[in-house]
Amino acid sequence: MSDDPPPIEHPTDRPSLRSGGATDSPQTEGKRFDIFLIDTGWNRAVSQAVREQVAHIARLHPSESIYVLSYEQSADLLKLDPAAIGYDPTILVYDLYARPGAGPGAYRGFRLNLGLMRQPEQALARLQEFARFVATKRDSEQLDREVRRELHREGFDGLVRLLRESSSELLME
Amino acid sequence: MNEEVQILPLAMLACTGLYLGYEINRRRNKLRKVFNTFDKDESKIADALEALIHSGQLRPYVLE
Repeated sequence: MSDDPPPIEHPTDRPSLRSGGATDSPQTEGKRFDIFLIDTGWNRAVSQAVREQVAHIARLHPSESIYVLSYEQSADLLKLDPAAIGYDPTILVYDLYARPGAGPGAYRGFRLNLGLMRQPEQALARLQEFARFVATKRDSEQLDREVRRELHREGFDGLVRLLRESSSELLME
Repeated sequence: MNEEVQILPLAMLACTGLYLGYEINRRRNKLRKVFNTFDKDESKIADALEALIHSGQLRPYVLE
């Protein structure tokens, strides 16, 4: 009998990116996110640094699907959202367990705009924070709240963390 | 003269508080710009991504 771990099964009938709303509980070993790397190569140094880490991210998050768009596909996509031009490389995370809801403000996922970083080291620090967040909060039922609390440093804990971080070099100037 | 001496620390304290408030707000705004959530308004991009996946032009990354 083999000691190999059983293969991770991905649902064949995947929930829509638009609506999310997978019905079972997010506290599963299965997939929760579809992760897309959008990168036109605009910010060459950061782009190269991020692309080198894709395999690492995939290893850390084997349950999730990661899609890496080509430069051309990324450029075509940004035509649909011109306000995001210059923010890439962007990691777009669709939460397949986002609570169903209509209209503006109905959370569907979150994104990490690494192109706003000047230095590859800054981008990698944020990428690490992102990887940690996805790994530790993937079971959360209200991920939008976690994004605000954890990543935006809201609330008193966030304030303390913000003040403790000697992160002027991590935050873009 | 005595009044001036009392006002000076208070003024400095107020300035420090104002600066801290400004700096915290600035950093949080930057974080919101780097990490942000999106909603249904993003659906055009979601449609385009779904189309790429369904047409086979975009496939999940596979570890080598």
